[in-house]
Amino acid sequence: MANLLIRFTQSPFSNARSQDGLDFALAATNYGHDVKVLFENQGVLQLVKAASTKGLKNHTKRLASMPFFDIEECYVCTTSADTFNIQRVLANTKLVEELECHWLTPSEKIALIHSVDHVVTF
Amino acid sequence: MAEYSILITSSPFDGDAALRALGFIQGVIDNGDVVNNVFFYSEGVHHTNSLMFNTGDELFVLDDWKALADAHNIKLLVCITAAVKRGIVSELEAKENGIAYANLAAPFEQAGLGEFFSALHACNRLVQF
Repeated sequence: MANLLIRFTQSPFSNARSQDGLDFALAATNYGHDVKVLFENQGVLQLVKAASTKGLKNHTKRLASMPFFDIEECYVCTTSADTFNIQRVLANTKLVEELECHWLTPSEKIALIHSVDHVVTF
Repeated sequence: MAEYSILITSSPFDGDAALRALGFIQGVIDNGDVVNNVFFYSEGVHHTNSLMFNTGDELFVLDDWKALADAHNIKLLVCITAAVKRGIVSELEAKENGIAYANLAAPFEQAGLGEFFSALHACNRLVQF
């Protein structure tokens, strides 16, 4: 079993990275790996609730399913949230609550990265 | 001896990632370490498209992947779901879905994320390009 940290660094709909990253994270737990996720850079925008669009997978709902795949540890980069000035929006987003996200400073992020076996960035 | 899994998520035309990946893999082999597999995922699946050709003034690494697989018998696996949605299909899929041509290059093999994660149990290192 490996400890994996998946970094989400892209906004939810500007490209396919966010979806690919989430598929990757969910698949990892199915094969006995331990997964933690970190939202940073534009990735913090994935935590802002998105409306459903017919024909598109709802990223917010899919992220909310992570605890059912035993992804229990979710982290958000405080600096990134500040950069996008959305910390207040995020604080009112249920998703952050549902995922029981922890807020991390840059030095805590580095400690997190050192604590895992592998880091994969999407 | 370390065992490596290499994850390619950048497309062949994304900067110098492909060159760095190939150089890194060669370095791993030269050190006497093992590359368990190279897994192409996300935009990385474009590496496996046989309908690309060398335009002469751009980076073109398809032949380098082939040479690597031939010389060192390294498994080159491509995520089937990620590939199909980007228009890279095998003979079988082309036939089953009424698509005129198959364009998955040899020696890339189709696999699922499951194969990648199963193999990861045996690897000490995972390196992404």
